[in-house]
Amino acid sequence: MWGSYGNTSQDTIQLWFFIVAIIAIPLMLLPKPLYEIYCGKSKHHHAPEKGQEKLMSEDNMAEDLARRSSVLDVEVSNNIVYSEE
Amino acid sequence: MQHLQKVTGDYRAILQLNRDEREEFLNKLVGQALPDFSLTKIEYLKVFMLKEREIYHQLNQMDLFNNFIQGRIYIPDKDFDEVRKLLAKLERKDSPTGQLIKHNTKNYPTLFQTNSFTCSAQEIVETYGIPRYKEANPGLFTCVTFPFLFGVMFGDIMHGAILLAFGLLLIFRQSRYEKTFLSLLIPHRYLITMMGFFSLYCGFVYNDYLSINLNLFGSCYQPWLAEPGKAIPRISNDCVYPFGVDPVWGITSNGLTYMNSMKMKISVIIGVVHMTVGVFLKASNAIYFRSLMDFVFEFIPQLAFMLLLFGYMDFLIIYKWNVDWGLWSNQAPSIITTMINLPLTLGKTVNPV
Repeated sequence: MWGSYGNTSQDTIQLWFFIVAIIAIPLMLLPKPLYEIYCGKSKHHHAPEKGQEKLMSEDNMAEDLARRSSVLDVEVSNNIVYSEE
Repeated sequence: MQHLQKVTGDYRAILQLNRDEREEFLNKLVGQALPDFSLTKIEYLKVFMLKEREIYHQLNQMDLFNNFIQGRIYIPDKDFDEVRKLLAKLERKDSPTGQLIKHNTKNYPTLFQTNSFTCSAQEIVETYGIPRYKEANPGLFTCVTFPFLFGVMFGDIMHGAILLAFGLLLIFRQSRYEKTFLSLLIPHRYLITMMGFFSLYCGFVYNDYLSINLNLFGSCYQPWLAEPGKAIPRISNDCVYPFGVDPVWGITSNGLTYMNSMKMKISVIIGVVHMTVGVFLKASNAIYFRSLMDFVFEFIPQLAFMLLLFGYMDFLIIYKWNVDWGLWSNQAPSIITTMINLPLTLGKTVNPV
């Protein structure tokens, strides 16, 4: 296609394609991380705000649960009585 | 002795009593269903516990203030009024009141509205990664490109027809399979149908019916005139098989080599096109977010790398297809060798195109 057989410009074109493709590799790998490191454009997520109290601790959870289950009339307690004569 | 017998008898009676009590207690728990529910008591308690745990889990994510609790949730804009209505409906006299306040933040989560057709493709995309809020969604393209690429790989008329029939069965007899093990496939019924359709289509392109070539439109070659070791004569020079691969390849000795080469090249071309589309999606994101950094140092080098190596390979493939190598077939360049020589000899070609 490019020139006659044995005297072709395909070699030159391929060489340049290859060189540009090789240059593209560091271009896509390096500048972005370097920019983010040195220009301080941190993309970290916000840390959770301090002073957030937990609404329910384990203790009042059990208490609350007992209250609510009594409302629902769910018998959880063991009512078996041993009688020994 | 009598005393001992009396003692053991007593203990036996106690044990029996204990057993009866235990049975009665357990019977109350698991024996019969509760009057208002179709659940036994133990199941009811389990559900109750699960609900409670979930409520506590949600409550623990909220902030506690003096006399109110604040929680933050993301609601899609179009559902906002509905949530507000629901909240108003939940309010009773003795219950705490709720209020919905709109508040804009920067970090929204991604939400893709899917339907029964797009959900399977979206699921496939999300196994690789979920686009950030307002980034382009490749799932839309995947709806077609995934089944098509599957068809390119699967391509067989019979196998494709079976898959297509199975997919159509899932669509039109959906209710019948909802309670069988096939229910797992029902969400993906449209995807399966598309996969079957494209397999059927590619089967016709490859002219493969259970690995047999079908002579549907009449071959352009006359194998009965062929001499051993020579090319099979053609009917006329401008005769072309109307659709797909000429069935005469099925009886040639180089048929497998030809089919492998053709299928591999088609796959490479389609693959490179798909990947280039992906790179362009990245460009659309960079433009949308006005990020020069992403555009110049991500999109452009990626596109350059892609097109200069693999786009060039596609060009070579298509160019080679368009040349009649008849007399020079020993000088025809091997695409793979050319590509390997690109880094090894820095572009020196043995057989130029």
